[in-house]
Amino acid sequence: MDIIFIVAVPFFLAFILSLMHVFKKIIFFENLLSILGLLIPFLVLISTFPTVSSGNTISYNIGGWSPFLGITLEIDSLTFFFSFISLALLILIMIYSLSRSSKYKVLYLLMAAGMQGVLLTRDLFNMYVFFEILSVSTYILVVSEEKRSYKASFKYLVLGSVASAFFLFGVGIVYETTGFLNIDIISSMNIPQLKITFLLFLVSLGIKSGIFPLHFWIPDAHSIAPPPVSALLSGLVLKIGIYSILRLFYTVFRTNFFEMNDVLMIVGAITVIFGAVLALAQKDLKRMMAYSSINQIGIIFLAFSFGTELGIIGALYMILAHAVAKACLFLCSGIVADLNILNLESKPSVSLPFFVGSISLIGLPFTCGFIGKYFVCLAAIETSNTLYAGIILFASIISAVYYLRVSYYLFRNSKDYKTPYLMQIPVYITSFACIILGVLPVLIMDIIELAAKTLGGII
Amino acid sequence: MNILLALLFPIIGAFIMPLTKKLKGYISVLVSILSFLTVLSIYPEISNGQNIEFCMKMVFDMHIFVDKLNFIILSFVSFLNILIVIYSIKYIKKDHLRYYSLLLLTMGFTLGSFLSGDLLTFYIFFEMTTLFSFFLVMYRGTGKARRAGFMYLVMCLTGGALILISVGLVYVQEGNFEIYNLNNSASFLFILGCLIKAGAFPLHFWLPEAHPVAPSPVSALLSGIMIKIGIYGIIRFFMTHESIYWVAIIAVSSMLFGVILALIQSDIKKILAYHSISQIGYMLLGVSISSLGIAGGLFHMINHAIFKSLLFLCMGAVIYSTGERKIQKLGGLYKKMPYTMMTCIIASFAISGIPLFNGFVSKTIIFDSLSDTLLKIAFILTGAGTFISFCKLNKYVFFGKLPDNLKSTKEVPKLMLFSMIALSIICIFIGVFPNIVFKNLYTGVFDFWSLSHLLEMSASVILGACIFVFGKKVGLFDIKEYNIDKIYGKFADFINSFCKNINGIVSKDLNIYILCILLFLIILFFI
Amino acid sequence: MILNGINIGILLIIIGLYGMVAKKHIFKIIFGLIIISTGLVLFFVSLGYVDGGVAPIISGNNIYVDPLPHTLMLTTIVVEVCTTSLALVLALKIYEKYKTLNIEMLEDL
Repeated sequence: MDIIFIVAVPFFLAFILSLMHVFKKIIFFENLLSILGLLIPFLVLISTFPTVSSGNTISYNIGGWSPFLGITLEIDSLTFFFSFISLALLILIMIYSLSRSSKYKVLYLLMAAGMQGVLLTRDLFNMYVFFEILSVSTYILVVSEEKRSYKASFKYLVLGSVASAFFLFGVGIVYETTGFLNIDIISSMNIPQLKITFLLFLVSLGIKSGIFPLHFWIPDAHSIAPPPVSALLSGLVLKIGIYSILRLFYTVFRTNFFEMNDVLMIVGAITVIFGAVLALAQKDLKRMMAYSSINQIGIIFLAFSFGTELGIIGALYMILAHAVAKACLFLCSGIVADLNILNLESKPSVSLPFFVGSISLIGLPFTCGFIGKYFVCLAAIETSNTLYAGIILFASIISAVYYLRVSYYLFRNSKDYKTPYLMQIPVYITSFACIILGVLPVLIMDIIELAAKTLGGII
Repeated sequence: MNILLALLFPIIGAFIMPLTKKLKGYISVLVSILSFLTVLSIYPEISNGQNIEFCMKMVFDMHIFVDKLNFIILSFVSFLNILIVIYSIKYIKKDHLRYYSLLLLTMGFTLGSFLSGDLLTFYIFFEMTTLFSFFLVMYRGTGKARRAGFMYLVMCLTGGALILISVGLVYVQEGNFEIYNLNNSASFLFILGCLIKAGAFPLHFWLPEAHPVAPSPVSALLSGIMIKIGIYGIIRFFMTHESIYWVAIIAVSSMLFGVILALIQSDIKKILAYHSISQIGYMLLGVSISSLGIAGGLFHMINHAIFKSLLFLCMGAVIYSTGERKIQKLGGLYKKMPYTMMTCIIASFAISGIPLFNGFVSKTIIFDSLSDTLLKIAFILTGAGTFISFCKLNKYVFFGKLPDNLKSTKEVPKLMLFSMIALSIICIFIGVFPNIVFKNLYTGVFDFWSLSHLLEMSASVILGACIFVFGKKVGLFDIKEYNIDKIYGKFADFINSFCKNINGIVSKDLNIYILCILLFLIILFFI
Repeated sequence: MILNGINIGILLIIIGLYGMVAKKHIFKIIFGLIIISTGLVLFFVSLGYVDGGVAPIISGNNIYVDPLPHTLMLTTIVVEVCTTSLALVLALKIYEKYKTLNIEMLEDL
């Protein structure tokens, strides 16, 4: 099977699902199609693992056109890593939300298709198109029955569109200076790009990832969206922005990136402190977790802006840890009844996964977050930026305070109520994964190191 | 491999806890006895001079290392664990699942930190003990407990962060995590982190909040074992035979400060917590002076674990029977609780350094290694102060007039008494036969019973007795309240209002968002 | 020439950004988005201009302007239509729920 199936199958099944919704409504088939739409890409992805883990890449030229003229889809180790995490979490969150309407499932599959498209494509304009597919689906997914969600979605839409506009602007200037749109070809041409282009891409992808002055849509959208959508947004969509930054900055904008290292480190540090301090101030659980996401994205941004290979390894571990743990936390928050922090009550089968997820985000040992935090601090000390290591640890102490406060309230107030079986399973699996990945990350380690070598750090 | 079971038994026991219905306490005792036996089972190898080390290959290599020094500490700590669990069978009356699972997890990870063979393993266990003991400190759930718990969490995590930075510095410079030597920014940060955990003078303010507010067996665990992790880290990893002057200064200030503040407290557990600070000063003083001093510091670590746990358990017994914590409301309990009184007096003699009890032996060693006269004077003063403070404590709690509402107090249940009496027997035993322990800590001979040593110790006791009698006449020991809590309370209020204000500053206007984006772009363009 | 496509495109983008920064009515913000998109399309297409070229439809001429930006911009216009329609639906729903379209009046989060 070609890797085009990873992108095409969710698309196709989304359209079939929407047609089915119009003509005939059989719940079983809807569920089956939606899970198949994510399972088939996952299996295709796993089948590419042997090739990728030995360092080669798999390419597919759409329509048979050569890379100079057409669009190429390619899986290398970095893409494999992100694609694997995103498909696994997409499947789990789909299991969590199987009871929702079929419109939700259609949009979900479209979003999955867009996400995989961004990860696989090697063409700049194609990346823009897939980003738009991803973003438009999430604009609609954020809307729920609450009154405030329209406003949150509107803010998200406006800021996301500004981001896409800047992205396209940047693509135009790159096309003007180099004449090609394929990322591999541009990076092998080694033409230094203009600073304004680099900044346009930084701002655009920064809005999508959530770096300090560009993060304003995150608290509203992540807190007011329905819980599985929050998990998706926080856990995956932000990471797609980070992936694009990694992909573009280390290949096309290599010289610009390494020149502006220090400035990016300062931006990352401000994001870290800002996210941590503001999370402490929140009273609503999901809003606090949204600011905590900003905190973690700041750490990831800081990690790879050090420029060394160890920094990228740390950033990738933190991405893994944050995706899994944040998904676990948001899914737990969907099961809790009342979201005001002072009134939390829940049953042990929810408080325990929440506790495990939070200790992963704080960075306590035996979890995946600790490995990430450790490598990031090591990278900081290696490049003589010990102050940034201190900032990251300071932020993790503050996150300990607000997360353990919530955990303590969840453990104290015990209330027994029934939750659907389907909602419990993803929660258990994600929290279990936090610990397993922290103690025995056997396969993941090789992929991450391979990805870091592929990107290649300087300094 | 066997020694790893010593730490795995409590952890697995904690996971079994949800499955058992009624016998949680007894299963915990069983598990801790198993862990103690595992520790003892490696004695044949240790006494032959071999060290046990092995490496677990997980993401990082975690090294376990046991030698003679370690073995003594491990055996005493695991024995103390058994006694604490036996005590808490009767002390804790409800919510057993939470208590026992957290207690077992804390105990397991504490044992792990004494087993660690390199810096990273030490850090890992350090952080895990902080996490679980945080929940134990907050066990009672009152507002005061929550505040104390968060202060404890932040301070100990800061200590952990400093240790992590030093681990990173060592790794970057050396490439591995083995034992390293002084004169480095890495060692400074590491020692600072360990000092925060130990509760040394400038960074001690979490200790008098956190230790009293926890339930009594947990206070015994915290004060007896957990603050020793810091001292152990300093001895094991950053020790040379030169002296570390700044640690000595911190040690002396802890000693004096702890004793002076203990004299003006009126909550019985707070007095004990301040005395922990001053005893930590003794240990640090020993560690920072010479190799004989290091042996003395280690010995004092073990002795302090024993008599401080005994003191906390006795005071816990008093609270259990009477429900009062302030010395103004207590008195005359010697008729009602004779065994408690006896064990408390034994422990007070031990901590004051009276010969034939275990405090004397370790204090003598430390005193002997001092060479500076100023340090000797500070030592004697602190000893005097300790003796005065415990005279006052015993007098107000056990002697004097029995208040009317306490006329129906009874002695505590036998299981609790068992732990207390066992600990007091060990106190006397080590006091009379110190060489059994000492020969494992130091490769020389030390004459405990020489006249000069006896005189030095007696000096502090006699001085203390004189000041006590004089002070009683003058009324120097009228009870005052001293509350460092107010400073922390103001700090917590400040953070609260800061958080509320920040929430208001962040604007909600869409226009401002886009303006920020444009400003960001323009500013970065011109940098 | 100062009034070539590239400059007017950039001018339109700046006007659109000004609209989004300064205006408070939701429709005006959406108009800002539309103007930005239009300016972007103009900018992009003018990048592909070749001196003396005609529209890229096969006729007898030798030189054509670069056809690639034209195709990309078709896609962009389609995406922009989709986004704008979504934005207008959201504006409609906001009006239904809040009875106002001034973003300052909506601040009750």
